[in-house]
Amino acid sequence: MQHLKQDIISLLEQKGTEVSTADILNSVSKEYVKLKLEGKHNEARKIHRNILYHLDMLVKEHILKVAKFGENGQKYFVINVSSGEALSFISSSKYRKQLEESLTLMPPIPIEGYEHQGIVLKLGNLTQRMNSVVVLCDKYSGDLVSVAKNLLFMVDDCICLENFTNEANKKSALSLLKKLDKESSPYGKKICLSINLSDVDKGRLLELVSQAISFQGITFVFGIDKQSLIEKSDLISGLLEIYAKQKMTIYIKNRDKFDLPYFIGNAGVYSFRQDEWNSMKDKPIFIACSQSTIIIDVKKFYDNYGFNFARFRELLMNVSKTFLSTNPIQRKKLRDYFKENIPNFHRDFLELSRNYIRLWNFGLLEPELEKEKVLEIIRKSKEKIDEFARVQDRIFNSCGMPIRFKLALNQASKKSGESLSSAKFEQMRIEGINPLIESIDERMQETSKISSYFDGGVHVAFKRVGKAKASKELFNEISFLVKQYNPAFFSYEMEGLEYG
Amino acid sequence: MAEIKAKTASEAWKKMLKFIMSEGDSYKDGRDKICKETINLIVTVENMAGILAPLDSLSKSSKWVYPSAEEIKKSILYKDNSSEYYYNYGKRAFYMDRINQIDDYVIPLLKKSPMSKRAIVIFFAAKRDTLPLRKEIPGVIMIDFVIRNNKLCSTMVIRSNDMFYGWPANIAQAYFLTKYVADELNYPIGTITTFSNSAHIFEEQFDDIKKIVGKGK
Repeated sequence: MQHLKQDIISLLEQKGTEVSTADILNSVSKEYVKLKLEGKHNEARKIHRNILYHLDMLVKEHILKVAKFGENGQKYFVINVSSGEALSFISSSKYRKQLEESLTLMPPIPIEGYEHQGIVLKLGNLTQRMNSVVVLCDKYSGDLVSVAKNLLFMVDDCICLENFTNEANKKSALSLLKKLDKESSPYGKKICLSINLSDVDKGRLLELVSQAISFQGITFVFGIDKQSLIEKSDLISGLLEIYAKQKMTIYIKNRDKFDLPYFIGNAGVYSFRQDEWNSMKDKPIFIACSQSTIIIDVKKFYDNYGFNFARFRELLMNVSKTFLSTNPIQRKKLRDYFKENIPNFHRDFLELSRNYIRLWNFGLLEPELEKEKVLEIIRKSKEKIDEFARVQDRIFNSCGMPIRFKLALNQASKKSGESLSSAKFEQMRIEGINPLIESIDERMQETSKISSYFDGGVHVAFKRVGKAKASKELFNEISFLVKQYNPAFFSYEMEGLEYG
Repeated sequence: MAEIKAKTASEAWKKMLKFIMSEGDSYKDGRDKICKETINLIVTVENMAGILAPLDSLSKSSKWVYPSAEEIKKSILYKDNSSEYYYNYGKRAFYMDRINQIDDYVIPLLKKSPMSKRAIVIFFAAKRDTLPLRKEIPGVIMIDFVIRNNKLCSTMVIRSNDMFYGWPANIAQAYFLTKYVADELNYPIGTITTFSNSAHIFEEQFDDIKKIVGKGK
């Protein structure tokens, strides 16, 4: 039942405003909605009563308060915190309100003006949660559902279950995925399953994917390499067929290029720095990947300020300073939470995590913009934020206040926020192997150049259009792309494909 | 070994930067960065007025964000903000292995024996700081308090000291802790000394250092 309380609080925190009893009921209990639809009113009423009981308890514990009564007497609830207070989740049964003493020391966040203009968008709450965390499944033998539930409470965007291959090989995999989806999808969060295709049971995986492909909260990321393209061509073709038939997007990680966690959430792709990942010998089982994300809508910036690099540099600095202000509060919260709620607590679980600055709609593929100028701005931006992070890390270290401050630059996904400008750029369209070979080279050269400026490279998104008679055709295209261009992470969207 | 005495922290900072720039030995550190270094540099500040001035100078730059005086004060006086940083001097002074070195040792000791030479606080924890994979270990190793001429004086020993980015915070930390002890003992502060085993600056700081050193000549 504590999970129910947790779900209610999560919902209210996420909404950030008053929520009616009816909305709480519909959001936290799928069962309630189902029973109502089926006309099983008596059973639905039981759930209704149970949720009302928990709402009442949360009000008595001063965690929630009744904000107002609606026209029909319906209660609207909000989280009961005053300005300067934050709600901390201590364990599955305890919550505490604490004064954010650090807030008094925190300078005003220097991006609010840009936020009002819609140029800057924060992903989630910069001090309360982190964006993404990786679970090294091969090192964890406990209950993944329970730990995912506790992690999702502290994660805004995505959990990556790395090395999920052994779990995928188990008979119980589908039931596990159903449970994980139930935990993630109601909150719009993602659980990425990283599966290495070189050592997976073909039949079981194809069955699992075909049944779980539509789960909103689950994303499969398939790890391939040149060897598996030869030895596992049937399996890869089988997967492509499933995605083509369902008109879905398949995500592929190229292990030859990047053999470490690389996954995708609502904000975009996440990864670690390869040298840092390799040098960390005793890796925690639960390892934070990204602390905070701020998205810059570059199109809106251009519209307001034109190609003004001085102004853009100022914006980047302000975004970076925002992370610097919020990180200490966030780190404290995360450590307190992890210590209490996540098994195998490792004091260095934040060691490799970075703050992401994500650029949206930066115009590289817009025909009317000068590509070289755009690339130059991105290159200089990368230099600027790297230098800032390095100096800040050094200053705090020299002062005896080590923070391990890291920034990463990458692209944003449209799913990051509804208010983002409409993308004018054209996705790379593929209509078959021959047009692919003829037309894509220039675009891939540009992508490769920009990849070198983005941390972990870019997510190369292909849109497959036209017709394909058999999955072998799709396999050949993918095989060509990997062998020819070696992208670290790419997707093949098949919504516009006529298959079969 | 070199010694610098100055009335104010600002004067001391400028003198030492100038000294290392002209007299320091150049070398490449473990990360291949060019440094200038003076081994065993002693710097004494005689007057506490303006002790935060070097810190204020660094805070004015738009090139970086320097921790505020309040954050620096917390870092040395608060034991419970340890999770904001990978180690924390305040925790080590007030709660290292559950020992409060300040309130339960230094202050009672100096109250009882004002001429004592034992009033030291250790920040280095051999048990954890000598682990081979440990990434960050404290720069400040210890601070020593003595009462002489009816004034409380302190000496902070810093094994590795970035004299441009780090020393302004270190002298402030030494001041905040000394002030805490002085207030408890009801003595005024005499002098604060830092002893830097490796007092260094980096090539990439030289331009900024020249601007600081040039000011108020």
